Amino acid sequence: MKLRKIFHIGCPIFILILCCFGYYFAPNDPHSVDMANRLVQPCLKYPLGTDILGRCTLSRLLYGGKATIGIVTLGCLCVAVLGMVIGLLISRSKDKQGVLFESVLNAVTAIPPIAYLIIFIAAWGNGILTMLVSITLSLFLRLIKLVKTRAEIEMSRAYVMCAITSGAGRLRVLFWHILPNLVSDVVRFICLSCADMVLAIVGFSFIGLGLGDNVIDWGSMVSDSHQMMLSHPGLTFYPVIFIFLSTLSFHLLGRAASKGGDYYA
Amino acid sequence: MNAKQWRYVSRRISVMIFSLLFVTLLSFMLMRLSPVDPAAAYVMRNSPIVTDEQIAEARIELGLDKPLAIQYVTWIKDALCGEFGNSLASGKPVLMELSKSIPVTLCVVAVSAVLMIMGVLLFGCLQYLTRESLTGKLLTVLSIIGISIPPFYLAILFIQYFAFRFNFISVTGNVGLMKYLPAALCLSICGIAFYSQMLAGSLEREMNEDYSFFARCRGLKEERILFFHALPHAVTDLVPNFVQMIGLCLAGAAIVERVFSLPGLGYLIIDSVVNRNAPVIHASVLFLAIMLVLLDLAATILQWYLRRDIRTEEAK
Repeated sequence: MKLRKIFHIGCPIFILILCCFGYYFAPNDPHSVDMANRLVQPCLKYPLGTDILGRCTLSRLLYGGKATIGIVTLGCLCVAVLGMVIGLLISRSKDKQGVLFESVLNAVTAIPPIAYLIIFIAAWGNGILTMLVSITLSLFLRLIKLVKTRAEIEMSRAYVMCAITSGAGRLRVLFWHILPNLVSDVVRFICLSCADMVLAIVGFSFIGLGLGDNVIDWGSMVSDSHQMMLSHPGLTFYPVIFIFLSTLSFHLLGRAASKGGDYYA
Repeated sequence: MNAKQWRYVSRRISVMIFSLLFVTLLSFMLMRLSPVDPAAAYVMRNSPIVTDEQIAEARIELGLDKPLAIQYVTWIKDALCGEFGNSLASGKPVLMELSKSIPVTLCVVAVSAVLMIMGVLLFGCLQYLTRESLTGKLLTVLSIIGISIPPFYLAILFIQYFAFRFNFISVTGNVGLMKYLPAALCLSICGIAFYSQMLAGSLEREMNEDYSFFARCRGLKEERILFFHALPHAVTDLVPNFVQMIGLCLAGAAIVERVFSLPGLGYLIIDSVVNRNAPVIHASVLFLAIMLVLLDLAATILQWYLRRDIRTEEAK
């Protein structure tokens, strides 16, 4: 049972690390164009063949995850830490200020993250920075709202009362007693949003609003090769497999987190 | 409606208006922070040679020389009168372009919402009924795959196989429902996979509630309890969340619309991003936000009507 649990959590994390840092193992330079070897079948030099410009598919696949998964995990880690701290800190204010803040929060989170992505792309054009900022901003506010609501529920539980009567201070109650109860929810939220964001980023780069001209990513690989889907199915299929594996791992991590929460409860 | 309820409603509406203001302000401020100068982009599109005087002229013509606050207030004033200016790319009024594209998006999303409702009810119940057997496990795996697969891949697969291989549908020239069905189908897979899982979980919880136990004691059949007692409760839990999900589809439709070349709202936004077409961007962002906020309001109202416990808490 314990081994199975490690497997359930370890496998997705391993896949994500592979997606993120796989470019260290790339056999060829992903940018180097080899016009003599266009669209070759898999061979020893090019383990998964080459694309229409003679670039090594495997190297491009391994480099492709760097930007997408990097943006998503970096953004979400910042969001998770900061959002949790700020959400907890403001969950106590019940005065006029709190009501105002809550209305602002409600107003801002009425727009889903993917819409923010569209708005940011609309205003800033596409690029790594745009994606990173829009993801961080939209998820940050959502997470604050989640943490605030959950913390308010926890606040009325008996154990908080006990902690307060035994003399625990405000910060100790928040970070020592309440925080551990929120972790599984937060991890679940972060994982599910990561999966959504990977799909959104890849989707936008598929329709031509990618991460920039020189950045390799899976979405633009699919859009470059989907015309040749019937003659060279691999060129489309491999990037999609990688996209699929990374979103799947985020989903599995999210599921594991929510199950972990059930054990505690 | 008593005073408390009125206060609640008015607070919701003010939150809604604030959210619209926030989004439009965001699109204005980001536009200003953008590395590309809209005036320069405008001149570059219209004439082959770009001079500094031309850019300065365009800046005055587009009203970009005034401070941002004044630009924003003028835009809001015009928008309240339904005046959004002309598109920089085609020269036609923005409102006309929007009125062409919004119905397309709404149709796609409406068809996919109908598909989602049918799919979720079907697969959710199926999953609950087969939860112990191999079929149930298979359905769980399938739904996880369904969430993780990128919708645009489904779309290109759909075009490749159904249109090219089997000539099942034609890619262009469809009329009526068939025009929107392929896009809606690709859009709805993810929602079906996600919500059928949730519905199955919710059903399992409801079937262990006291009222189902009471129904069992009265000698009702399991199927009758499932469909007439547990299902309505489970559905009411999901409905508000589902309405918000439709809002998400509205934004997510951009990608699928592009693959199927449907001239919807997302298509318009992306087109104007490529062309740096500021009036269209601002107006379509506003309309997207209006639709999202309305759906969010609908979700809140539904939640409020369907779930008595929230209503009593608000009344306290």
